[in-house]
Amino acid sequence: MARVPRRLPQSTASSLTPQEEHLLASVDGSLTSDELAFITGQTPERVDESLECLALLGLVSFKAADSLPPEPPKPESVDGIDLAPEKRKWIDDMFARLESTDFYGLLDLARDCSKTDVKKAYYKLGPKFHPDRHYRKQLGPYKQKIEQIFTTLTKAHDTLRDANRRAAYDRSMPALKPGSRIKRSDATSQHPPARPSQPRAQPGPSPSVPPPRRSQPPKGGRPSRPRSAERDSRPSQPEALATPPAPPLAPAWQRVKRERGAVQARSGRDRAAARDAMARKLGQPAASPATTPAARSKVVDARTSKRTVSGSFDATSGVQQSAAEMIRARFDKVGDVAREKRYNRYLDEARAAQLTGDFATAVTAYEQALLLNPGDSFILTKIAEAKALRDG
Amino acid sequence: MEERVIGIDLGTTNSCVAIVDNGVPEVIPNRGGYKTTPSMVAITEAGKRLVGHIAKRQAITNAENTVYTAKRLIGRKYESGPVNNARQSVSYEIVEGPHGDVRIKLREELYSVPEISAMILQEMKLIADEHLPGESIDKAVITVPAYFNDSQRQATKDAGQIAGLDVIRIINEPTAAALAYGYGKDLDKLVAVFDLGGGTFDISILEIGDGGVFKVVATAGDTFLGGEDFDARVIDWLVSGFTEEHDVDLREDRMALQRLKDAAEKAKCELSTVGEADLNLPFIISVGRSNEALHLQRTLTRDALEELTRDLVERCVDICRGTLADAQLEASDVDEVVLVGGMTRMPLVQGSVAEFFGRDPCKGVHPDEVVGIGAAIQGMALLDETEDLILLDVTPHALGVMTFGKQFEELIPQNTTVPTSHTKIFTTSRDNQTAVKILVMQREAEEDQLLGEFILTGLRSAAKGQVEIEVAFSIDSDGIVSVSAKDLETGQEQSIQVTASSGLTPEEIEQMMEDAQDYLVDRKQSDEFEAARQHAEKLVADVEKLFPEVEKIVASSDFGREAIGKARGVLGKTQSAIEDQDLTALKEHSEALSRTLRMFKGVVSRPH
Repeated sequence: MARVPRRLPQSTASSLTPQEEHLLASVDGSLTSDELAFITGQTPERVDESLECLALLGLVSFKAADSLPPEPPKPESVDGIDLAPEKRKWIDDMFARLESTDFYGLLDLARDCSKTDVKKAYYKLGPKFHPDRHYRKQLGPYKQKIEQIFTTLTKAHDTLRDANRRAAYDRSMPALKPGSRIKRSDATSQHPPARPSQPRAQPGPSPSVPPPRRSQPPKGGRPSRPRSAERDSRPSQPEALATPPAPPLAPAWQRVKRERGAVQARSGRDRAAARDAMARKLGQPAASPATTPAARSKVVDARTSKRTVSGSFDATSGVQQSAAEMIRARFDKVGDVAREKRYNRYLDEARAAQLTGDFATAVTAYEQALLLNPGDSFILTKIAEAKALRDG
Repeated sequence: MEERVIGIDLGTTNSCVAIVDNGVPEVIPNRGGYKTTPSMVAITEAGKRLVGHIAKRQAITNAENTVYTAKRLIGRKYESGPVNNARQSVSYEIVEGPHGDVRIKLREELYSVPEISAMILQEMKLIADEHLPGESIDKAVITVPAYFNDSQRQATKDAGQIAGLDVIRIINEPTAAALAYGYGKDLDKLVAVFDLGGGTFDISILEIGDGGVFKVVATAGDTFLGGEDFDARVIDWLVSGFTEEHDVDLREDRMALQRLKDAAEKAKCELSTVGEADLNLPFIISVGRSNEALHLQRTLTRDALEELTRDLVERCVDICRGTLADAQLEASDVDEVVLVGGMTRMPLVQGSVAEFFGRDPCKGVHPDEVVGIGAAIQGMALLDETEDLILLDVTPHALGVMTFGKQFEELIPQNTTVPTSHTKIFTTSRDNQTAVKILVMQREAEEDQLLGEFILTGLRSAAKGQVEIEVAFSIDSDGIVSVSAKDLETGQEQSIQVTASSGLTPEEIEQMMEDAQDYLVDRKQSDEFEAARQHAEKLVADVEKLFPEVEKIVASSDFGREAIGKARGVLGKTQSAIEDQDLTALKEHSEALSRTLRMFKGVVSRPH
């Protein structure tokens, strides 16, 4: 079912994910959700879900789509930001690509490019996103975006121009991006508006890929080892990747992140309302049990899930409480993400050390990883292996 | 009209102001026609502020109240090593300020270092204002040594504020020099800027490419290595030679010390072009019961100077070597070497640089003027949207946090392009720790510096290592550091914007701004004085010329002799009013003197 979302006037929200920002920027009141999916390179399911979210935040509406003629939004006239619409679009597009594209893609380079190519590409692109280009201008939320883009482009340049760092980066990439992932999803930014004849032609694979944390280069993607029996049902991320179309629920961290964003976007009364709405929304999938147990377990473990359900059931009496629980569950998950990040980092470090022949460091790093996930059999074998190498 | 901005090179010994005029950057000369102005400030007996050449000229007779090399003190703590050294060697009095900062005592009045620097900046602004009538530019880009830390930069910014300037950016001196070197040329080069100025040494490696992109690759330096240290070697040599000969320590006499300083600097400069220089300082000191006058007379050869200072030059080259290594570059990768700062005129410096980089340094830039010009270019590039030039600078010091056991944990490495942001996850170090203190540190050669601190509370009580805290550092394009810490479990977040402390409170700066405004009125008065002085000097000359003739005509009568005596008195009073820079007295006496002149003219024109 293709709905036509329309932007609502008070369209300034911080803390959206880049994909959501990108989506929001593409909403022009005439494109259907399917067309938006095509343009943004996100799956129609994701787009639908994100649009629901944006609607909850009061940023878009599906309603008056037919009562009002489609009108291109002119936010620059009302929000006091000194940026032309096409500039904003350009920044939004680039910002969205930060998470969906790797360093090569960001700089529009082939994987076998030379150092000179890297330099040229960066010199051409990087300065365009330097904040000094907009010195003492009102940029609103775009200031942060520009700085983020510049920082990431610089990291891409610094990494790809240094032989050692580039080699390490390349080693870490295939693990994270099997097969088609290496292909850049150009659709995200450069595709012409969708032709209605093939609206679903390219469900871009990238959105279902865990975006690397923006502040760090994507780390080697060893999936987090299950830490306990309770979490055994968690499918590792690459599995989720390998089975398109994307499962009805996004991986835990994606939801967590988005919902956190949603909560942050509001303040005071609004915040409470959004939180409740979010809790109800979260309650829905959890309330239809057994359909996708694996996916569901990624959002909340069984216990929390039950609580959520009951929270949703007596929504009239105890909405506040259920919302609070939801938030707690959510932050538990954030903790997990952080641990997972550290775990992966130690693995990377260990692997890199092993490659350079520094087995002592490798052992230490593996042991650190083991601390984060005691009893991890994979790590145990790795430690044994590294120790053997170390001892000759 | 397009908004304009001046570029100010606030140097240790000399300062320079520049502007971009219709796309052409140019240095603005001061009233005396000089393109640089000594960074000297003095307070006269009458309480007047003197800045620049006029301050330098009276330095010998007013040594205790003349400040030079204030830049070496800016943003430093009273207790720090460099300040201690300075206390031993400067002729003015340095005392401790209320915040452990440095204050300078001039005629019973205390001045902060930013205030002294503000006087110089104000002078530079006046030079620009005079050159560009009807256009009072208050926006400025000021340069600092690349290796200046956060509080030194902040103190420089404060100085600008006190001087009534809107400091739109602080940029690094070698970077500014590179901008001046590469502006308007379509280059694709790796350039090394070797900047040895009056007080500081910097080396920066920049990549210039793609129509005006200046990317700093690496920078390093020493904020206490410059021409002053070369002078000090010569002074040491003179003093110890004199002690050997006469058993007298010249350092104990402030005026003698000031004369030695001048002579040493002059000899050093001469030796850049000739093989030997004579140092002649008659009556340098008088000793003994008979007040016997001693004279200093020595000859310094270029070879001897090079021997005295060779290790200083080697220190510079060592820093260059380290910087290249850090950037994983070879000296031969560098396509061009640009020399900046007066000290690079020394043949030993030029030779050592040429030898190290394996190429002759570029001759196309003026070592004293490029920095100011570069600052003006950067200012223009920031304000002019159509300008393609962009500067990608780096943070010269690593930033991080102090963790358990006084370990420095690096978040942002040295030479990272700004703006930038980095995060790292930390964990608790004690069981049941519910609060964590985040100490934001800046890594420095001598001692890591605390930039700021804050506390994140409300952590879950758990075994050590269980609670995780994400610390995020970011530096924006204005160099402002923000740090946040987040409890990953509860989502609780605390953050600070690190506002480096220059040692002055906002109230103090406010007060100093007002004082500086008062001075501007003073300054207007001193302009008036200047006019009165010129007028009076002409009168004095005219009267003196007529004196012999008048004396001859009227000396025979008592009345005439009396008149002559009165005229002499008026003449003397006028001259001392000029010396004392006393405007009111000068006006009064020159009026009397002009009456005298009229009378004299009357006498000589009368037929006898």
